[in-house]
Amino acid sequence: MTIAGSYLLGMLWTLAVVDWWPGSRADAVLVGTVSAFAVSAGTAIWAFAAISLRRMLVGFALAVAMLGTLVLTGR
Amino acid sequence: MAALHTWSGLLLGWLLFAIFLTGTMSYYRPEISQWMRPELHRTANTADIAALSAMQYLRQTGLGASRWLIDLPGTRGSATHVALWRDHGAPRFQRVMLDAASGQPARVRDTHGGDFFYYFHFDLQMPGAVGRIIVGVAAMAMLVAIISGVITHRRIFADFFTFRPGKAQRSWLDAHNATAVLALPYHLMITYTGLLTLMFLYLPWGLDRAYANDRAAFQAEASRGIAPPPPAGVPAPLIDLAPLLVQAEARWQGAAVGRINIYRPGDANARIELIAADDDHVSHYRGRMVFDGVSSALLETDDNLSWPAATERAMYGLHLGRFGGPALRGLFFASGLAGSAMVATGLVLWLVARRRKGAVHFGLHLVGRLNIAAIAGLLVAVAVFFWANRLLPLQLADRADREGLCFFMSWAFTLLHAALRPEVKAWREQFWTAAALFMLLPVLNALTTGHHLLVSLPAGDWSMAGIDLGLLGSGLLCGALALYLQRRSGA
Repeated sequence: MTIAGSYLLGMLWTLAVVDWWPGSRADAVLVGTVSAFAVSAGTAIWAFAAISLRRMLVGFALAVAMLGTLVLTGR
Repeated sequence: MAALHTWSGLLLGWLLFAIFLTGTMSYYRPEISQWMRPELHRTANTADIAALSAMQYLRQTGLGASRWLIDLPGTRGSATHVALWRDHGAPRFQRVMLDAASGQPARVRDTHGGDFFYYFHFDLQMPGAVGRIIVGVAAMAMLVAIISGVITHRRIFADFFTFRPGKAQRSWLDAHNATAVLALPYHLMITYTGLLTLMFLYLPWGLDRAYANDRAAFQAEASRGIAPPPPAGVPAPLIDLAPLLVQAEARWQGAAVGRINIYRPGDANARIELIAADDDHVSHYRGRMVFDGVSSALLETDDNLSWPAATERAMYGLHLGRFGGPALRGLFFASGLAGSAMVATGLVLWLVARRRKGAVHFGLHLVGRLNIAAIAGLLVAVAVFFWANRLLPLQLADRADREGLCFFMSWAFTLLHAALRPEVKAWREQFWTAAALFMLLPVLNALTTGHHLLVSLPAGDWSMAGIDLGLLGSGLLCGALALYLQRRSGA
């Protein structure tokens, strides 16, 4: 579950950056993809470090909703 | 869930040790390749001589090809690799290794050389992308473990390394912590940048969203390559390379050319792309110049590379570690060895901690045996690969792949050995075997080639002497580990 969640968030992050990066599209792809691994790692750490399962899921859902909105409204 | 976590952690640990060790060896990939091809003329060549002689070879043999590629030997090798692609006619793709000085196909034994370990460290010699994906998962887990280890101070590790104080574990834990913390910045860097080298395999989504299926357009826009124009269909003589090399080296302030791409040679739309060698700067694949292959006009450079692209190139270059000369390479190598030791001690610690609690079941037996083969067994298999390089008959069909087969067969044999022998004895015997195999390699080298230490040292042939000495050092290290285990078990 942690693996799927961190991958999903990394993927959404990449797409959101590609859509909203103000510079060229090549830069957007590079910035989004290079930083996504940090986002994925951060998600996994969040999952392990969260005090309760509820807090973890709420935090995760918020991040998915935010990035998801950016991706849906982008491009 | 906990069981899954524990077992996947172990499985990744075995993988990570193999990845770390073979990756660390890859810092000396050119030297290992040179050692494994003793027939090569060991002369120092300038990039220009190698480039021009390779060009001469391609002009004679590569007519009608759509692309020529020249990978120059650099300062650490003496073979030039050329490749060519044809749109029509056969063969479609061809790769030849040239003697850098003569520009003629090198008459050397069939071997993968240092490339074997280099490729193994990210594709495990598995077909397609399977190995690369497995390595990516392991690297990601490693990244999470490192960061969480730093931030939360063994929060994840709490489960892994719960133990009660006692002499044996204490020392394993100390070793584990020392190797982990000492080279911590290195571990973080090498893991993250390693993921980046294959980032578009792991996360193709951004690239696909921005460029659909036109990856060539991305390559061109990010200055990672060119999108060559279609052939004009009009023959035109390809210009001489020498003046371009002079121009490039002036622009790069003395840095040598490392790679040359020639698109549509002999066509009016020919393009020549020069890329500087990696030795002189951190960034990989920096210093690009694209010329018109007929008029010699300079069409493109990467002087104004955007900061995201430049950063990505620098991170890639950090992973490869081809810059900075022998001292920095030595430091990276030592850090990589510390990383391998960190993983190995972690694996042993896991087992010691559980046994200490009095746990005895089949699973722990299995882990104990697999630890032996994954750590000591891999060292034996690496040494066997070097032996196979010297001992397999030169005329053997598929010789290069047979060397790899020797590696995997001997690795499998160490697992069998570990399963059959008492555990403590199996550790000791495998380390002794690795020690003997490594230490005898310089002797074998002396018996089978004319490049033994008494020749290579006075000649300053560091690819040969350095690897011989490194093998000797590896043997001493394995011997020291075997002795340590022998003392501890009181035998």
